[in-house]
Amino acid sequence: MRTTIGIIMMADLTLLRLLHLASPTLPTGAFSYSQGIEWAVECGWVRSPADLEGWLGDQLRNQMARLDLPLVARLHAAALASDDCAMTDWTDLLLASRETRELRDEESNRGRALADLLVSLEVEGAADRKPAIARAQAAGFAYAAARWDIDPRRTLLAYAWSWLENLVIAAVKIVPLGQTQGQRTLARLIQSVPRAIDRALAVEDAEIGAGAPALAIASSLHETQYTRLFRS
Amino acid sequence: MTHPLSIDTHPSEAADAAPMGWEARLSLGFARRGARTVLAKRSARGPLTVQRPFYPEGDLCHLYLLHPPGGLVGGDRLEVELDLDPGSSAMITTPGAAKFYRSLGPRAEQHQRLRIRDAGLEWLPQENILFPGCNAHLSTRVELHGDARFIGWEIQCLGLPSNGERLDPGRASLQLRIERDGRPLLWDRLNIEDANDLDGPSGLRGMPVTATLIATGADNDVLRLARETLVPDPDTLIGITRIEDLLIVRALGLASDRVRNRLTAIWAGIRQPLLGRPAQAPRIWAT
Repeated sequence: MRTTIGIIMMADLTLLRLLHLASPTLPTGAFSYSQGIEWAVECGWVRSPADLEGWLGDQLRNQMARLDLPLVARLHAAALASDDCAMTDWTDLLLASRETRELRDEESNRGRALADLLVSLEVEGAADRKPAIARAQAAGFAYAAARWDIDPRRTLLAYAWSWLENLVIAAVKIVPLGQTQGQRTLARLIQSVPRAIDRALAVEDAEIGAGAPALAIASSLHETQYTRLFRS
Repeated sequence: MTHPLSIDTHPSEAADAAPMGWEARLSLGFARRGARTVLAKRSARGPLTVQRPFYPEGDLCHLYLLHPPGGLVGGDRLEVELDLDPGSSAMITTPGAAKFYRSLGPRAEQHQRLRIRDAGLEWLPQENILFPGCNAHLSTRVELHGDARFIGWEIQCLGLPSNGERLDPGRASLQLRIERDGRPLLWDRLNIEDANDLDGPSGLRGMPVTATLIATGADNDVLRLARETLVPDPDTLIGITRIEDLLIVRALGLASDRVRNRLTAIWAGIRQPLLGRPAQAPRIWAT
């Protein structure tokens, strides 16, 4: 009986840690980035909830499924295996895939903030590996999930959710949209997440990679946008 | 685990299964001899060749690379390897577009590896045209070592926009990898599996021409010079960014020649500060 209760409590704790990791209140500055949405709104590409759903749904199908999530899965596996070499190589590839200065800065700024937090939370091994996990937000995220016994699929679910929620909230402010419109868009978009994860888990090493030319152009032009509230 | 740095290497499962087309391979080595760069090594197999080097700018070796006149069909495979030795400098162009025709299934492949060791390369080929119904796998890998300098572009024309023909059906994997001393600096990959990939709002947005220009050694002045060349053109979208010393220009457009003209203007604007040479467009482009 005591053991069963112990197992249930462990499962509860894992779920709570997953929610913690995906929380928008983590002090990593996620709220200050729009990943090109600010320019996409300015130029008229994103004006309505339907445009936003198209913009993010496309990235979910393409970049998330073919690039981000497959790399988070590999970083998670590398963390589980304590394979620092693989961690470095996959992080190199992730950073090389961030297409613009702002997108790369976002990844590394959030990475540093998350690594600081993981060290403060005394996540096992985080202090020793801080230089490696601080390079990219995705690396710290995968590392924490692995140390907290969160399985790969749930790690990817949490990563995709937190990415989506963050950008929908940014768009609600920028377009602007009503809070309820934003939540409806988020509710529709999450229906595509399980499929993106199935796809991501099937991607072979040699298939990893997905560029998004319009996103890269939007993010490049955001650098010189006259009025900016967001850092990407 | 496959090492991620081996991700872009050559063998492909699809080509192995296909009835073989031809295989062409061109391997060129450039070296400094006295005041000039010469074509010190040249080995060619199959219908891929170069013309004689010429020297309109003194020391700089200009070279035309000639693609197979008939283009590529499924099962064909083309490999280009360039090696630039320390102190050498070359400019490579092509007199015509590379064409990838309709395939009944097997992939047509083009792999280019440009290795630059303490040398300078300008890589300015005309566009790749991917005909409707093609299945093309194109990769370009630029390996920078030491004080390598590079300005280059890749222009991809998806379908035949002048005839209103889209790349639908059609499949393509278009890869560009830049690395320095073995570490990846940029990994760009465009996957086209179906029409969704042609119309993605954050991807191609239904525009048939996509291009990337890369230059090394860029500082903020070079970024500003590149941006100053831009002119308003609703049919050609251009975004320019700089990551460390890498200038990255991305374009989406309706017509290859207009995209190429914009990239040529950027090249002309940054050539002097980056390579110490005044811009002088290769004559072949005017023909």
